[in-house]
Amino acid sequence: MGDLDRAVARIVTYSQRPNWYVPWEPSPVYERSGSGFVIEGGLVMTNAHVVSDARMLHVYLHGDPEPHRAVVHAVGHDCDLALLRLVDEGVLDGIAPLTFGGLPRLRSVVETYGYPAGGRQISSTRGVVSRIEFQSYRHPANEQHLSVQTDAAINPGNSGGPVVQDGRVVGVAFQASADLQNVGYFIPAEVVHHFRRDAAGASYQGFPSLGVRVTSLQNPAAHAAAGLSPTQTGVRIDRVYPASSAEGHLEVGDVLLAVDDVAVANDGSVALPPHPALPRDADGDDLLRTDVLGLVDRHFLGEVLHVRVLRAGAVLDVGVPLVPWPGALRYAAQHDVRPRYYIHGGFVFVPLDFEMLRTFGSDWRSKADRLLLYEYEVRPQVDLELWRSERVVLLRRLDHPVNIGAYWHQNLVVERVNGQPVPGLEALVQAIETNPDPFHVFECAGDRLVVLDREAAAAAHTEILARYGVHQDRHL
Amino acid sequence: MSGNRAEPATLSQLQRGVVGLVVSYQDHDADRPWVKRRPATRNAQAAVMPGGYLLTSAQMVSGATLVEVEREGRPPRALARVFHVDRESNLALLVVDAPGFVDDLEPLAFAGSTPTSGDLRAIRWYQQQFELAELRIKRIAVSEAWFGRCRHAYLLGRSDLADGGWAEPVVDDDGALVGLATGQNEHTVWVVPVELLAAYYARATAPGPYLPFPTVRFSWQWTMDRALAAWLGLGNAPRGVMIRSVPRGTTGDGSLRPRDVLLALDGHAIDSRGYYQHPRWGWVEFSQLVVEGHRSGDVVPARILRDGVEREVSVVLRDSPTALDLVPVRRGDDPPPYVIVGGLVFVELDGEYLRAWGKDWTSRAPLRLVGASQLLEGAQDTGRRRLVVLSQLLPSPWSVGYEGLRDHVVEAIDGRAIGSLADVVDAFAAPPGPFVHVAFAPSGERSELVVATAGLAETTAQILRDYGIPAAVRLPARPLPPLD
Repeated sequence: MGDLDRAVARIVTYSQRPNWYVPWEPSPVYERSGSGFVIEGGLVMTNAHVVSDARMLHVYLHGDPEPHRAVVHAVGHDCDLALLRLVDEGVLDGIAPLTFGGLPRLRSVVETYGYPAGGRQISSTRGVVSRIEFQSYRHPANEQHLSVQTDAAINPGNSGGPVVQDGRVVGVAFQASADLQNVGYFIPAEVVHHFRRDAAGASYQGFPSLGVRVTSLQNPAAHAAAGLSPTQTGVRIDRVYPASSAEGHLEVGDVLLAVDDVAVANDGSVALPPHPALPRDADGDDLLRTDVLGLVDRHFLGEVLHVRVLRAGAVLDVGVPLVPWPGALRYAAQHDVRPRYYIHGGFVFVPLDFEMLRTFGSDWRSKADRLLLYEYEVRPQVDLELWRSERVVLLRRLDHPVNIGAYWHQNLVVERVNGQPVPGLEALVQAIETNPDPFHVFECAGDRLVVLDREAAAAAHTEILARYGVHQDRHL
Repeated sequence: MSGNRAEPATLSQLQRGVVGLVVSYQDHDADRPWVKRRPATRNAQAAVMPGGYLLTSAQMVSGATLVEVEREGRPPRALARVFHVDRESNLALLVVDAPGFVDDLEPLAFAGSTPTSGDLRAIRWYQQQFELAELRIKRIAVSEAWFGRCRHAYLLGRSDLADGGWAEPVVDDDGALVGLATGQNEHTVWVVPVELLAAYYARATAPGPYLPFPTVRFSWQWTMDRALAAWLGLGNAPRGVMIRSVPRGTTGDGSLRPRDVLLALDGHAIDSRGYYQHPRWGWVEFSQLVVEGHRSGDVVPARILRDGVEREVSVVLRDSPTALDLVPVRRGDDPPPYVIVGGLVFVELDGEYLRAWGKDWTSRAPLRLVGASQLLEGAQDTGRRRLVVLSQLLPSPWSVGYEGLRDHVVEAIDGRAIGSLADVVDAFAAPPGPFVHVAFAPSGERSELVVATAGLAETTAQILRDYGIPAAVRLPARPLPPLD
């Protein structure tokens, strides 16, 4: 039995993922399996999506039929990585932890290890590194990070398994292409490194983002109009999002010339230098051109990103402190959390976010109410202030005589309650529960008006909850 | 084909009262507005009217390049021309200039009113056969015209007519015209009722300017919700509808305000779901009140509840031509206007452009355009009569770096607000410096585009040659109606 095989584990998860349409309800329990591998510190690394929303976790080691209970030690949903710790001590004694390598060369051969398709015997496949680029990570839904494409088979169950080259882990298998055959992806060591360093702290913070939208300056006129000399390159900062890292430091119209002293090309790409903390290939490195975000990804929240911009004809070095950006989380999938909601008078209120939209199903982009989708996707681009606060949706109605007359009663974006703006679910609760008037008036997007009789709604509240089997009227 | 219950005399009468239309038509390509799509032919019907007029739907003659009329299923065909068309109510009158063609035709008589029960017949010429399909009356429903903006009552009937809605005349047992079928969903046929047909025919053939049908365009909300009704000051007796918004220049503008409760219109009480008691049809949506028996410009009394106080106001009834919408639902037969500068293709956003995404265009077209058209119902103002869209970019070295840019609403060019294609022409005619800045609406994926003034004219000429485009500019064929 090779050391490598022994370090690769099968992980079985019993999970309970909430249903955002019935946010108060405990949902059914599902079993799924994935792969993982032992690393130093007595930890098992896997994908976040293998262990998310877990109620119980079992780790099966190679050649050992006994399940070993494990708990999540750290999880980074934004990069789809997790670390597990076995409940019983000493189980991993005698298993040599795997060590990490660097970024594999293009066209070099890698091997994946894992337990695909629910099998109980370890399986390995071999393929070449086809491409290294920025790519969407499916688990968080709104994140892009460096990703390596390979033609080694990566199937369900492979998730979380190591991708190995020369005996060292160069990545973690995590997703396959839905459209292309024989295309799998793994998370490269550089992203894994970021996750592990972050997870070593008191709590996992996640990857930073800059909070700008940039547009290319490949057009010679745009390039010249931006004030660049023919030898300079960069991209125009087209939008600075409120409450993001960039706000107050970068301005619309700035030309982003360099990040961390690495020049930004006119298309927004950079020549990504080798990661300073990772081993380098003895034969040299490939030229790796990625989105400039690849450089931002190497930083941590709380650090200052060094950015060089051209502003009003002058080159400026700007330090951008990297801060969390809550506005972006509304476009992210949620895991390991209970849905937030508030029920009053049979009306169910929830935040306007990705999970709310997903109540329309996986094809929510075509199925969701158009006005709701417009409010979610387009309106915040038109009214940037909306990035600063949460928005609330009247998701649905639990029918009762106090609310049954309302013509509109679902998927309504609430703009004002009792005359007050609604900067979040808590504010809505406050506006309802401190309202002295005889009516609750909900002004919703699209000129839609919903009214509740305050006393009647309060009187019916307990009965509505009981009738629909709701134990708690809120989770905030 | 179905039962043929008409008496022989009546049958021969009907055969002389209905003609077949063979309409050659050609639509424009919304994505390449300089191109006309492949010509096609549609077969439709028309009812023979007194005076030799042929009554059909506006939709049947839309885009027509040639209209032929077939009499009793027997050649030869004669040429017809459109005498009058009202797209908003989806009706049209044709005439045949060939001498003697109408001599052996016999006009259908208008029925006195639309019946609400019983059986009718839909008629058409189909492969040289005269087809009579039973149509059992189901109910009356108010909806927007199949083709235009006018909201009015339809007679809905269940029929074994297959693939109807091509302006088949619908007649009663006496052979009198009860309606014109303008749509069909499975077995349900939508029939424009005789009240509208007769009024249209009278107005279109009367001397003097045509006075179109008024319509309700303001948005409103039920008050049947007791909490809403009580909050509005209606006490415990919900009635009337709450006004949500009144578009400029449409029915109620100047007299109705958001949050008013419209209790009665033209002497008819409106219930809490927006219905009134029609003298013959029972409960019908109140929008029908402004159409039936009225013409644009009529003034009718309304009773409203405003700030808890009931009061009488006068409401001016207006038609609402889609040309006055910021994003018109139809453009009519005029060719789509466009402007090409360099490789930038500018168009005016309208329903024809959006429907190029297919039947499910609300799901498939960019949400920013769908939103601009449907959700927000933006109004025209004097500075902005249309939304101008940078529709696409025909690649050339001049526009390198912008490949793939599509469907962005243009707000300004070099600081000049853009409210029409003429504004685009003007903006590019006199660029103030070496660069032209095109500013997009914030709903887009980028806020601006910068191109060089140098080489502009040459690039435009080259683009026309390379892409086989006959002209760089086609402005709207006719000026928009004035804003009130």
